[in-house]
Amino acid sequence: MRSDTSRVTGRAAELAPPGAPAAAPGAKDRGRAVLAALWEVRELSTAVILLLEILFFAWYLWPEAGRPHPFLNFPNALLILKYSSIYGIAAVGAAIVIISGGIDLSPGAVIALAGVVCGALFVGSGVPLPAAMLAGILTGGAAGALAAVLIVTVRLPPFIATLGVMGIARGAAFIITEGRYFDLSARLVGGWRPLGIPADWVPPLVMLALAVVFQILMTGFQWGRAVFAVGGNETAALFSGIAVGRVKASVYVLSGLLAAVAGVVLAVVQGQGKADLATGYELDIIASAVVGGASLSGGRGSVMGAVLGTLIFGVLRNALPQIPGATFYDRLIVGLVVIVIVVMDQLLLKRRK
Amino acid sequence: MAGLEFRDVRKSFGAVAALRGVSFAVADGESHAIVGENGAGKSTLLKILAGILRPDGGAIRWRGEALHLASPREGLERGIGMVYQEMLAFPNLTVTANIFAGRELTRRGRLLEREMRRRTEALLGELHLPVRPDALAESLPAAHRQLLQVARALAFECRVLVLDEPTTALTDAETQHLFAVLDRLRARGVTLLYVSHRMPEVFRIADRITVLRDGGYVGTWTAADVSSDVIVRAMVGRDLPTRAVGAGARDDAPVVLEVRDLTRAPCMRDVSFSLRAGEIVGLFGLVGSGRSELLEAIVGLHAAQTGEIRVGGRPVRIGSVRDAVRHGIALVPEERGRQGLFFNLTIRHNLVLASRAARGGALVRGGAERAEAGRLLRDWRIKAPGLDALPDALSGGNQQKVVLARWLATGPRVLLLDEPTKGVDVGAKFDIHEIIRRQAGAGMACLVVSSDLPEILALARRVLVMRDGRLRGELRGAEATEARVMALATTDLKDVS
Amino acid sequence: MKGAVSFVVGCLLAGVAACGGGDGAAPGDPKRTLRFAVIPKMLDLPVFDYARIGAERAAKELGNVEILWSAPASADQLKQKEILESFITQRVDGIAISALNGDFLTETINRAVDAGIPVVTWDSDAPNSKRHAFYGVDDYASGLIMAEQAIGLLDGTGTVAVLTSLGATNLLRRLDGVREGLKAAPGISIVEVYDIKEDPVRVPEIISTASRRYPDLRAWLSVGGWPVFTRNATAGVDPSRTKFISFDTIDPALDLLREGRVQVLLGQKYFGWGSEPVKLLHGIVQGKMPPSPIIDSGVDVVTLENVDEYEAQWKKLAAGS
Repeated sequence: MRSDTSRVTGRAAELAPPGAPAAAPGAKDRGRAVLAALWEVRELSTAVILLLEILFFAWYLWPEAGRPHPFLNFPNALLILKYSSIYGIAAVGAAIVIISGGIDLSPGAVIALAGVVCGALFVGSGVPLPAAMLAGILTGGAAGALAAVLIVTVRLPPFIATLGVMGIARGAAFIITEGRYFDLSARLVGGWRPLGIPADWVPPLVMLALAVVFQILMTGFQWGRAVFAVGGNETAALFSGIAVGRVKASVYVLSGLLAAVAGVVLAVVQGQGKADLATGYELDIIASAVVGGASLSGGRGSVMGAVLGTLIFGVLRNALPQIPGATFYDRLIVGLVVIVIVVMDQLLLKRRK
Repeated sequence: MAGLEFRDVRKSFGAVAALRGVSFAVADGESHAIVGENGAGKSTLLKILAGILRPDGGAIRWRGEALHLASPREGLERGIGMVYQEMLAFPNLTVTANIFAGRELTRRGRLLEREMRRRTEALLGELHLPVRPDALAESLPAAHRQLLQVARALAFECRVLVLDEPTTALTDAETQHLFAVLDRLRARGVTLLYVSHRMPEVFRIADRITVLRDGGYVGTWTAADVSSDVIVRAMVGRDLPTRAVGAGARDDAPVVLEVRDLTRAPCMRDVSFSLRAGEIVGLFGLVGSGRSELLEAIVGLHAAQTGEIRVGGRPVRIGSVRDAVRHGIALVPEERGRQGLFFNLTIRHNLVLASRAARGGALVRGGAERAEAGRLLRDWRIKAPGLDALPDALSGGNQQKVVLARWLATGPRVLLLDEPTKGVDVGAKFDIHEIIRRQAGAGMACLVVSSDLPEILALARRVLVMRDGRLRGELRGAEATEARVMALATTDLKDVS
Repeated sequence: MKGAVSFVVGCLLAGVAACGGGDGAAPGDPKRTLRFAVIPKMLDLPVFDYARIGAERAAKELGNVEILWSAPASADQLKQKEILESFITQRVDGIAISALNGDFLTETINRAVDAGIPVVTWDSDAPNSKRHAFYGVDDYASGLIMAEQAIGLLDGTGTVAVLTSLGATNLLRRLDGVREGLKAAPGISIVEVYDIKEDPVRVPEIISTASRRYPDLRAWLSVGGWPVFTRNATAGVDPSRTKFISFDTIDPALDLLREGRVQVLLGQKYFGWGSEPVKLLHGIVQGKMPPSPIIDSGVDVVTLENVDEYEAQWKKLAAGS
């Protein structure tokens, strides 16, 4: 996905639009600069987009007099968070991989596999729940490790390597379940209440916790900066003494682990460990990361932004069916949102000279 | 004939005035050099001429007609060919495809492959370029890729050929070759506009020389009537010592780095040399002689090698750049864009990354790093808009200083520099030389690889010469003349006394 | 960065705090627009298009009903649960759903009912839930009917293969009915049960594989309508040697029947899937409970003999009577 050469330093590549006027440092330039500065903090700009989206639907779906608002209420917000978290937890890992200059196509398959492994142990073999969950998470780590070996040692392009891991993980899930599924809810009578927290709260809390933790890791720790460096210019990172191989391996293992966390949480909260779950989720996960600021050429992105991106799509998925006939527009709008965001990136984040 | 005339050309980028009413004339068929420091406006002027930028004011006239180019393509069509400093080749396409990229010969939509190949072969023959038309551009060495650019500009009827520092990646031999081609073009009546930092080249190729400084026109001289000191002074506005006495290290200074029989087939074999504290040693060789590979091997970038490296007398194993830094060896790489800078990180990160990566530690200490980065900017006189700017806001010279400063911040005992002043303006070049001398004076051992023979001779008292992967010889002090060094670098091993 | 975190948290709290008010006016007020969510198993299955037509028509007739039609794009049980849950939190006035997996949705359906939202299932039931009614075929009984037809066609002997989809509960029950019904003819044996995975495209592939493996196959029994959703799915079957009995009579099934590619079709009440639950929900909202929890829509057995009559009926329904 990302080749090794850095960009041309821009001298010969710069193209001024035809007829560019002699710009005095005018209001238009300053306005643009302010907009660009605001946009650049992707956590902020993505949050603003989310807020605008919420406000739009709040207004559009305003109910008739006397009825409760269908969209703007606490249970609905919790629902959106609950279902977005599955994407969101995996999007944390996806964003980190994309920032490092790679790509991971396996999250959907790993989500399913982790849930299946957890279900197989918990339901099939009677293993206590915490151990089964841990095993599921480690399975994701193993998948990530496989991707890491393929990418770092065998030097396959990340697209191909993770495509392969996706197939292997999904296949393993089907082999374990043999087409049936594991019913965890049967063994979790009364629902799951870890530490007394109702099950529906767990996915959002896990997502927020992971988002905060990894946002801090990426911005305040050497490792995170190394990930940005490797993504920005892998050759320079090599020359600068960064252990590029280790950094790359770490992001794929992380992505696998996080997808597995999402899968295990999903299986336990929803009560099903099924091999065909989360099919196709990887594209939405990557789209969320891109909306949140990740550039597929590497070196740019934000964990928090990716999570906000999943919320943007989650709100969309929740609100659209409220509009008669609009449910079919879900995919279309997702595609448009991604394109618009990337275009804005191009316009506002052009290299300043 | 009127030729090329610049009349009061003006251009600003936001608040920065890149060109302030530049006016001068180039006679038709003349070979005219434009020189100036970075930021003087040369590139902007060339871009306007080529049609990449539109001027804010003023005009350009060519043979009496006004030249208002809306796009580079139009420039090409009017007969203005450009050869740039950075390699704009398409690495994944063939030589033929590169030459005709964007201007393929077609008949009714079909590519005329054979015609293009034929013309390519003719061009390559004319330029004496030993490449096949079907070779992939990325397989060519840097020098050939540069000449490929010249070929591209020449592929069509070219009346004005503009060259923007075309020899940065070329060795002397290749440069001579290029000049031979340019001479032939001049004989054909092509007008040449030549931008370069290298005085010997400027004087070799130009009939007249125009100097720009800070976006303004300073003056035009006839090359035959003036010396390079005059030109340099006009460029910088101050006097520069062109030849400094090489830093003298005492012969009894301790040996800091010793390399024995370093071999990494097929790039280099049995290379052995040593560096003493406080000395500046030059390493000269033509492209392909293995210089960069040698430096990269010492610093741990390549695993498969045999031979021994000793630091401070003790044999060490250097398996990675991190190891090298910990042993006190640092490498300032050749291509700062590809190998040195992170364009997605701020200048602060670029400055502190290497030392942080080597010293370990998990946390990013913002405050301490900003202080250190600020100090580096001041100490090395790096002109930057701020610590939070991105590297592409800097000129080439300042970018190079950033890379240099970054490695100096790791506190090395041995500093390896690969083409440290490539693509750097005169002022920055001077600064960098000063930095190297200062470090040597403080006890650092410096090994400078350069294709610029005068530069090496100005810096180093001892010159190592490599050819075809082997160290062919070492010349010290007075015996290190250009002729002898070049002889070692190009001819077979025989007695060089 | 810390600022960004607080911003996000603030955002979410703001969204949450801006709770719409409490419960509004009673749903029984006849002047309100009633929003009914109708949830088929998935989008893009032709059978459900007719349900939609039926639902929209019932809505128009009733006057104050708005239909929210929503479903997962593929047979994704989790997505269907998500859609169901979001309609609950969005406080719709009634839900009509064809459950991919009734047991999986039982708890959620109960939550809806407890929250005061009437729920009616159609086509595929959630029998253990608190749903107010189920409208659809008696799957088991229709399986028996299919078996009976097969016995008749094959004169009591021969090998048959079955097409089904292993995800949905109602299909499983039909299969159970088929198996039970076939016990009456010991000469007939099921050689294999094939899983379509709700994807009609797989039918030709499976048929050709099976034909190679079982060249003497005497009949195909499909408990779902996939083979007759397209013209060429049954192309690989030689009607002189192998009979075809399938569920569903929507286009182009009737043509296939006339062409002799298929011998017996079991039709469901497709328009009814949409219109009846909507009417039932409307009734419940006004306090009129459904006559019984299971409303058998009945199955239409269509053969060459009565196909014209059936088609005439269909046209009338499609035109809106």
